[in-house]
Amino acid sequence: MDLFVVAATCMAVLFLAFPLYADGQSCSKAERASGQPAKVETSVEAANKEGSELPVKALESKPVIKREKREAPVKAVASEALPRQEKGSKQSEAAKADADDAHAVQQISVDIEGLKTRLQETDAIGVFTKLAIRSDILDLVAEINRHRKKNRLEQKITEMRASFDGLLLKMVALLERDPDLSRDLYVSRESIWKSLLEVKV
Amino acid sequence: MKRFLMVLLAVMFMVPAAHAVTKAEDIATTIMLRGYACPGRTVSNISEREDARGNKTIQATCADGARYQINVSADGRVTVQRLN
Repeated sequence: MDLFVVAATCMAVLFLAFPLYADGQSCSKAERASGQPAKVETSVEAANKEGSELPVKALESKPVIKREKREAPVKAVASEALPRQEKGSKQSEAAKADADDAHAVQQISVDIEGLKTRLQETDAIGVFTKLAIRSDILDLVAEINRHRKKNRLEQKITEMRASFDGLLLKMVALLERDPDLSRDLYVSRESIWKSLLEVKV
Repeated sequence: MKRFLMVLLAVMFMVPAAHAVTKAEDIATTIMLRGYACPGRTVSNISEREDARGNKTIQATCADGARYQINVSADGRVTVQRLN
């Protein structure tokens, strides 16, 4: 009887575990197949409500973009007809926006550290796979720095970005068992690319 | 009580088994990351040795019979070479 209970529990756990994993897998595959970042961001918003770390910062960078889009037509009107006082208020708003941007940049840098930690701790990929990915990243950074020393980085930046995108897609595909981390990596790819360009060593 | 403990133990052992990556899968993924084919995404006949400098050498056979050597240097660099 006890054995029956254990066997039934194991079956129940397997039944509960694999559909969850299958859902995450099909979700990430669908996202990759559709290639629509807007859907990814909405799912990030949902994750943000649940309290994950990275999407918070990814979302905080989004209003900056929206604000720039809103300000552009307003600035065009101001240069034509608005009085000087309003221009002054616009400048103070611009200064506030710059301060917000600086704050967002700081948070993005914190995000990347968090991503590193999560990559190191995830069980979705093994130790050798992590080391292989690390080797690839170090090779890419070394190549970027080599081109920078020869002052050819601007010419080769497209190739470097293509290599980075390929590497990121590999990581996203490998992390199919950790869909949250996979999605966060994909969403913050621009921040990762910028941080890679900043690495001097 | 005894039944509850058995159920708890079963859950504890079954959930990690459903999500963890085995060493064979890890090695096969590493081989594929270096551009080699490893059908089945798993390997067999794994042999592993480490020298005094900390360099690790792993040999494994993929499902199609191809045997690979994975070298992990002490600083964490990974290279793969086919043996046959």
